This record gives sequence, structure tokens and C-alpha cells, in this order.
Amino acid sequence: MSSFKQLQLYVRWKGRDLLIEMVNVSKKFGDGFRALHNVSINIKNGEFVFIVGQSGAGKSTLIKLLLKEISADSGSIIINNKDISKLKRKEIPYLRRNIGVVFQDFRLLQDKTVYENVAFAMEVIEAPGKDIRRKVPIVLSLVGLSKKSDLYPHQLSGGEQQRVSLARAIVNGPSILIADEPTGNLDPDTSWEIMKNLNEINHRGTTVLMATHAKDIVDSMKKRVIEIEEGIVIRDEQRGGYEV
Amino acid sequence: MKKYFYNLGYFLKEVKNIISLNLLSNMVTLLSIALILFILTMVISGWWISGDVLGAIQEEAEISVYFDEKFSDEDIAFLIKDIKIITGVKDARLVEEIEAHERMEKILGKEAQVLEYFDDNPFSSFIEVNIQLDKVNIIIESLNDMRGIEYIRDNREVLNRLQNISEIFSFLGILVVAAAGMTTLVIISHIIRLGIHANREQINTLRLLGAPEGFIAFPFLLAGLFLTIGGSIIAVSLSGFILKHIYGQISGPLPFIPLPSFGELISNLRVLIIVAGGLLGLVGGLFGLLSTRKAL
Repeated sequence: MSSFKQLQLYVRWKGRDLLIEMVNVSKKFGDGFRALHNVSINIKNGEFVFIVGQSGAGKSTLIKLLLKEISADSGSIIINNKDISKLKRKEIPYLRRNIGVVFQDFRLLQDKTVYENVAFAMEVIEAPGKDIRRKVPIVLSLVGLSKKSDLYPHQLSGGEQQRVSLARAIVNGPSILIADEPTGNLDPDTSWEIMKNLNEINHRGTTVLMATHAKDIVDSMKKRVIEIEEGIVIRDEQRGGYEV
Repeated sequence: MKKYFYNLGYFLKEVKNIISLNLLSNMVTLLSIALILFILTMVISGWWISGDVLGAIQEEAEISVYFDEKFSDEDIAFLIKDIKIITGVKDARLVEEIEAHERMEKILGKEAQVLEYFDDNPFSSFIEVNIQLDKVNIIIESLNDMRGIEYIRDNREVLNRLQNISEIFSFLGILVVAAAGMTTLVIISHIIRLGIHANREQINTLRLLGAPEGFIAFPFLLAGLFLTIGGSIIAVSLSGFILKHIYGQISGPLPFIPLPSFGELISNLRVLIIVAGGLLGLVGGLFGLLSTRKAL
């Protein structure tokens, strides 16, 4: 086999295996604050990755860049073989449909029931009603909320609200799930329930990227850890802990 | 488009939320729009009515030609024949003394008893000439050149006044349409901005769920549309009530004023104001959305 063909095969394999590829990504904000500097990260399909670092280290900026809430000043971000820095405004919703997202403050729609919150994520992408009626109960059962589908967010505990948020994030079968401090507002027991859910979701094939300050969780789960400090990746460790 | 129909329930619920979130402010907006559109409706009614009245009067424009009393029937017949061939004359006919008297009785109504004080009929026979109004000057010149014509009575002064009134209404109409349009746009655009600002967190969540911009914006456009259409309905209802009263006041004592049909006027106003209100709501909503696009 010629070396050119070998290279072609390698590129194809690499393209198929890599889900997120950030190359020399930098981002400064208007006031000159350097949020990220020359960050290069590769994340493969099916990985579970913790992003750790102190507040203001650049974790949220990294997540916002992946969700295309903000654009990088330089470097490239490739998700599913597509350079998202070149995306047009109208193409952004289609990128986000492939990325589930969970927040510390849940961000549920307060005037909708548990079922409606999850179903709504499918409605906005024009999923057929038949699919919605089939998939929403499955996802709610996965996060253990089948019996609470008719309740409103304010009738649920913090952990339950976060599980609704998880169900909403995965109902469209995204290849990536980004969780920004998903246990930040929860007590330790509830946090572990959420982590079990995230682990289960990861085992089903979804790549999970979780920004967190939860030392116990990171240390116990022995997953890949990327540490950011002052906008620079200072550690990228397979089966790492919260600290070196 | 299918998605918009499919989610109509959601959009309507969102409109309810957007409006109830700033209920007082939205009610004031609704009433302000209703008031602006009411003024617009009244001016447009005046514009249409004066135009219609003028048109009807112009259609029936006629001049009265008084001739030498010594003229024989044959002379009169010749004169009528000559008048009929003047360019711009639609018709000419003789009005006998008796008919002239009867007409005056009809016009005077209860006051017609004053005519009884005359021993003889005070009216002379004349030729009633139905004309095209824009040819009035040429017709009068031609009539002045004819033998035996003693006096020509035209209604140019009245017609000119009516024309002036109609022009004033047209000018006011254009002015009010522009002012009402601009004000409504500003009010709606502002209220949509307030709604977007109050819902910015939910909007961000929807964006992160992958909702397209159109899907997010649609309830705000609908809210603008509902406010202006609501305002239009109030304005048209109020105008209908006021115009009915005005019609009652005019058509009784001044029956000779040829007013357009009330039903037709109201149904035309209804269509015009509601469609115009709807368009202003949509455009105002779009302005509001565009002006907040960068802020969100």
C-alpha cells in the first residue's frame, strides 16, 4: 500500500473517531481579558471528559465556544468533521441539535410540565408527533421520572429538575452531552444520582463533557481530566483526579 | 411552515405569557393603538365621505340657463338643440315655471308657505344643462355667445368649496396615515423589545435547544399582531358608533347631501383598518426583533 493511501486511510479513520477537535483556539473578551490561549484538545467518540479548573479559568468559555454562543478569535473548532467557526448564523441551531446541554441552574421552562419540557426539545426540531410520544416516556424512564411527567418544575426537587434537564438534553440523541456544573446546586447524594445518569448516558454511546468543581466526583470516577488555568490547558490526563 | 401550525398551541400560550408578563403596559399599548387608529379611521372616513359627496355632486353638476322671456316654444327648442351640441354638455332640458315652483316647494319643505304670499308664480322657466364639470368654463363661454340667453347660474363657488374641503381631508388623511403609522410602529417595536428583554433567559434556553430564530421570534410577532388587530377592532367599533351618530345628524336635516352608504363605508373601513393594523403590527414587531437581535 502506498504511503499516500495509508495517509488517506489514516485521515478517514481520524475523522471518524474524533468528535471534537480544537486546534490552537484563543479567545479574548472586549476588556482584553484572555479567556483561552492556544487551546488544543481532541475528544473521541464515546469519551467521558471532566473539565476542571478554578472559577474564571476558562471552562465556561470553552463550553460557550463549543455551543457557538461565542466565536473564537483564532484557531479552529471541528465538531463531527465540521469546522464550526465557518458556520453561518442560520446553521447554528442545527449544530446545537447534535449537542445536548445541561446547566447548573437547570433552565427548564417553568410553564411546562416535565413531559412538555422534554417533548419541547423535540418539537423545536420538527420531530414527528409519533416519535415524540414514543421517545419522551423512554427518556423519562431512563432518568427515573416516569411518575412525575405531569408535574411542573417548581413542584420538583433540585435533583429531579436536573434529571428533567438531562432527559431534555438527550432526547434528540445527540452525539455530545455538555454539562456545565450539573451538580453545582445539588447535595452530595443527589449529585451522585445525576452522575449515575450521566455515566449511563455515556455507556449508551454519548460523549460526555462535564465542567465541574466537584473534587469527590472527579476523583472517584477515574475518567479523563483536562485542567485549565488562566486560559491554558495545563493537564490532560486519562483516568485522572481533580488535582495532580 | 408545518412546524408553525404544529406548534400553534405553544405560540398562542407564549403570546399569552408575553402579554401577561407586562399586562398593564400591554393594556395601555392596546388602548393607545386603538386611539391612534380611531383618529385614523375618522380622518379616513372624512376623506372618503367628502370625496364621495364631491364625486356625486360633480356627477350631477348642472347649470341653469335663463333665456329671453319673449322666446317662443320653437325658439326654446332650437336653443336646447344648440346647447346640446356644445362639447361637455351631457343633457339639456326645459324646466317649466310650474316645475321650478314645485322644486322650490320641495326644497323649502315646511317653509314653503312663504310662496303662498306671491299672487303669481315668481319663478321663470329655464334650461337645465347637465355638464361635465371640468368643461364648465368652455360651456359658459359658448353659452355667452348664444343669442337670447340672459343669465347663466352655475354652482362653481359651491363646487370649488367642496373641492377645497376634499383636498384638506386628503392632506389631513395623508398626514394622519403617516403619523399613525409611525407612532404605531414605534409603540409596537418598543413593546416587543420589552417582551424580549423580559424573556431573554427563556430565549437563550430555546436557542441552546436548537430552536431556529424564526421559531423563537414568532410568538413576539404574533403578540404585536394581536395588539394591533385588537386596537383596530376597538377603533373600528368606536368609529362605527360615532359615524352612525354623525350620519343620523346629517341625513335628517340635510337630506340633499349624497352620503355614501353607511354599511359600505363601515365594511370598507373595517377591512382597511384591520389589515393596516395587522401590517403595522408585523412591521413593528420585526423592527422590535431586529433592534434586540444584537443585545441577546
